[in-house]
Amino acid sequence: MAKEKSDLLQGTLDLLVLKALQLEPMHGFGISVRIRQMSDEVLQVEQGSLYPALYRLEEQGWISAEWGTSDNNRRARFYKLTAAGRKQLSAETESWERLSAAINLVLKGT
Amino acid sequence: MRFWSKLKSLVGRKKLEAEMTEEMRAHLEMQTQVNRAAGMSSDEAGYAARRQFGGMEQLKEQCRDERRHGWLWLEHFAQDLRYAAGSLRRNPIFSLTAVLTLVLGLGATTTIFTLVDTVVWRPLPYAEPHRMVESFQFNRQALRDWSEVQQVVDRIETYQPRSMVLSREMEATQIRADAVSPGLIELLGRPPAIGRSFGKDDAVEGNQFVILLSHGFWQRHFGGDPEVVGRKITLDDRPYTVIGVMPRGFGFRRPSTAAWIPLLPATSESALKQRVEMIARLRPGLGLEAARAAVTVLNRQLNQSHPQPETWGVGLMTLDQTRVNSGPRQMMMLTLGAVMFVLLIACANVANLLLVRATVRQREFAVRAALGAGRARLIRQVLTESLMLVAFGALGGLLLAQWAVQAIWRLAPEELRALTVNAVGIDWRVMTFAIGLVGLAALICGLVPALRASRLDANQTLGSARAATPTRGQRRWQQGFVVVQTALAFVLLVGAGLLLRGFLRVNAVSPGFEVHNLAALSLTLPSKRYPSPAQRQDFYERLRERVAGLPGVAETTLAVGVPPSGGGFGVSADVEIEERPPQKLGPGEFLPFNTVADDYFRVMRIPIVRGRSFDLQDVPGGPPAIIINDRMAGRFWPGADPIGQRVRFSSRQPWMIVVGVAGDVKARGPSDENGNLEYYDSMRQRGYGAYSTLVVRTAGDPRQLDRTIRNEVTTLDPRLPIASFSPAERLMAETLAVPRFCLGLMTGFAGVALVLAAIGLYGVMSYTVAQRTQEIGVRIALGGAAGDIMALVTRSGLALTGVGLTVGILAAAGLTRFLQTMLFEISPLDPATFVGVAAILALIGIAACYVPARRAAKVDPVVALRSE
Repeated sequence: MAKEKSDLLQGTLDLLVLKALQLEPMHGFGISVRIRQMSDEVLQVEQGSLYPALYRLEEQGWISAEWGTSDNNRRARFYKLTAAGRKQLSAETESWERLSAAINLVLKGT
Repeated sequence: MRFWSKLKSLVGRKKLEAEMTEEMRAHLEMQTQVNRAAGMSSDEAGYAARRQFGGMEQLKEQCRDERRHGWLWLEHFAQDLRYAAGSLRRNPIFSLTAVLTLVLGLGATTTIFTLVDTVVWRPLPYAEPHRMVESFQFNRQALRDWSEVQQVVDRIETYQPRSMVLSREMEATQIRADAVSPGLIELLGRPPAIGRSFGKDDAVEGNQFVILLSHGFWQRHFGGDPEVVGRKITLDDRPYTVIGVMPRGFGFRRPSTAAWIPLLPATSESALKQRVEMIARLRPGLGLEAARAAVTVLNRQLNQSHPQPETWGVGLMTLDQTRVNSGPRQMMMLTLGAVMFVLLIACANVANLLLVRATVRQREFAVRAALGAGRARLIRQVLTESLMLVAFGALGGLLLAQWAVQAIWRLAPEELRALTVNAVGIDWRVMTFAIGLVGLAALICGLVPALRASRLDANQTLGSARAATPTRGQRRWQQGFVVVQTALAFVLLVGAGLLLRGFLRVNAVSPGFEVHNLAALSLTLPSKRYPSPAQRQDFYERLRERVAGLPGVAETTLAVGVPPSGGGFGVSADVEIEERPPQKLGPGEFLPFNTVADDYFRVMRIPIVRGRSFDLQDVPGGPPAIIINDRMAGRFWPGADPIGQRVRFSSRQPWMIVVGVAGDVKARGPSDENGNLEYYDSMRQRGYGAYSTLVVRTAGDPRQLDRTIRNEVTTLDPRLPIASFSPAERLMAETLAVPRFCLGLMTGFAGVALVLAAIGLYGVMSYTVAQRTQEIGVRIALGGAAGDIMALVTRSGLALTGVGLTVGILAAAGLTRFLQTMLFEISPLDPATFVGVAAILALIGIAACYVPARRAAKVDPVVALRSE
């Protein structure tokens, strides 16, 4: 079971998760649904990537978790952004925008 | 603390595990619901959801990894430890064998390391010992006038070793008490444990009868009495008041120094002629070499202003010099090397054991791999197991070392113990070394099995129903380890064998005089009761008469010293021969002399090859007669007759006449190379000194007359301390005490190495036979005879031994040249030794194969073939 995700990919996933939680706390399933919705069905995050990312983000202190009840009265673990997490989200958003702008420049040039 | 946190994490983890499972299940359920909403049946929905979810266990593992990123290694390590402990417990025979082997290897290595560390490496218990220098036999007058020395050192203290007679009730014993200048103890930087050290007032005439005790002496003679300050003891018939006790572990200058008394400053003419030993602290910023260079210059100036008949060059040595540049140190290091070999062989044995176990556990590893353990994880787990084994071995080894160190130290010769004042024991340096050893051993033992264990193909192993068999690679490694063991054992045995044979040869050489039935009684006549030579002569002659009259005594004679201690004095100046230019002695060369009675040569059976021995012609006051030894005659009068020649060793000396040439003797013991020059002068002429040795030629074993002869001394003078009475054979043997001691240790190790290597070979052969049971069964079924089978097994075992021997021979040929300096008249490539050791190992190899071979021959082919 090698973890072969590149750092770039991992960082991007973290960004997506943080963004997904920006509005309100959500459980794991809900986060994957939300990301799919927000990306117009393009990005489908599989559990194998999502949950490790969630645990990692929790370990790093950018999200926190609590047990609660879901829509259909099921006990689930809800994640929410912490203050540090919000800061991290804006910082990562900024650096993503810079990175993608740079890549665009390269691609546009002849 | 460990228990609670373990408990907490155990409880906590269960809870966390449950939570994680629940979280995943919740996700699954939600996915199932979505699927159902999309139109699948409940079964399909659930199935699709689960399939889409993937392997839950793996996912959980990953999440666990993420969550405990920082603590991951700890948790894994704890897991590995638990697992290793359980696995070891389930295989007690294996574990016990491995641990015991390691206890032996690690214990022996730690013991020797402790000894070497104490004797050679550990710094002396003084403040800044590397900044201290010493010089021997300084003339006090010269020291007083030598103000230039201040350029080199900023503090000078002096001391005189004294041998004093301690009188208690009926007993008189001799102790060593050094007279020290008042600031010396302070210079060394260790304050007394009880009471005080010396001050300037103690070095004033009338106040000097105070004494500072060493810890050991305090324990032995005052029973560790804490109120010892103020008590008195009698030394040399005078009461001394105890003023303090030095702490445990402190000694100066030799471990045998029992106490210290103040050294009075030299004021009188006679006092200034005395010699002292000097200890000084180098000026800060001045290195030893620079100091030495400066001293050489100052030395010349000194010689000009204070020429002495026996001039000693002033040399500066650090306090450690004797430890650093000595034969004993060499031998100790060699012993350390030997014991490391034993450790390597032991580790190879354990590695083989682990390899065998790894084979057996192949299936278990395959399952773990399937469950998601990465290769690194598996390797770590096997390494943890070997680490645990080694840790137990180390613990046991430390306990063994604790005991062994003390036991061996007690057997150690005096010469070795005198090298340091440090007490022998396990300290933090040894512990650090031991921990390093543990790591190294764990790596050696565990790495190969770990690497092999992790390189499995899960499908292959899990798929086959057969009991696990070793891969060819595995067998190769086992054989490899045995070859290495055999080679190591060979090198060790050859080294020990060469040293042993050299040692025996040294012992066999004739010392130049008759050693058997000879004893020496050393006497010290205190100057207070025997102030004049005439009184001393009277005592000696009366003693000789009495002893000569004893039954069992054939002859007696008198000398200042006998071999192996010679006369104890010597000259290092030029040899002036009349009518010839002065002959220089080589650098560091030394011309010892001995003052002897007329019949010395006769009693000692030293041949006079030319001229005559001393006799009545040599009157006191007349021209001093000397007898030179053969070597000296050949060196300074090659081809000519030295008899009648006149010699002197300094312009202030009167001319001495050579009256005879005596055969060479080994003045300093059996290992003395007989290259030494020596001369004798007549006791009758020189006068009878306070230190003499009564030489007794006995009819039978001199040890039987020990008590009787000492009684004669006590009868003549009851207040004379019990002098030491030693058979000459023992004295000569004692000079070889250190090599004999180290050699004994090394031979022991060689034996242990042999046993371990044999066990290793036996183990591998047994295992190979067990693995090849089917093949053997087939052979027997096809009509093979028992003898053939045994030959087959033995042949393969011998092949292994043969390869090991070849490697060993090559290695030994390359390595033994480092022993050159310690080998006496034996070549490092001595063929007899090599062949002998090879033969021994070959025989051992055959013996080790015997049981497995017999077992192979007894294989029931039906059973063997059926076990498929």
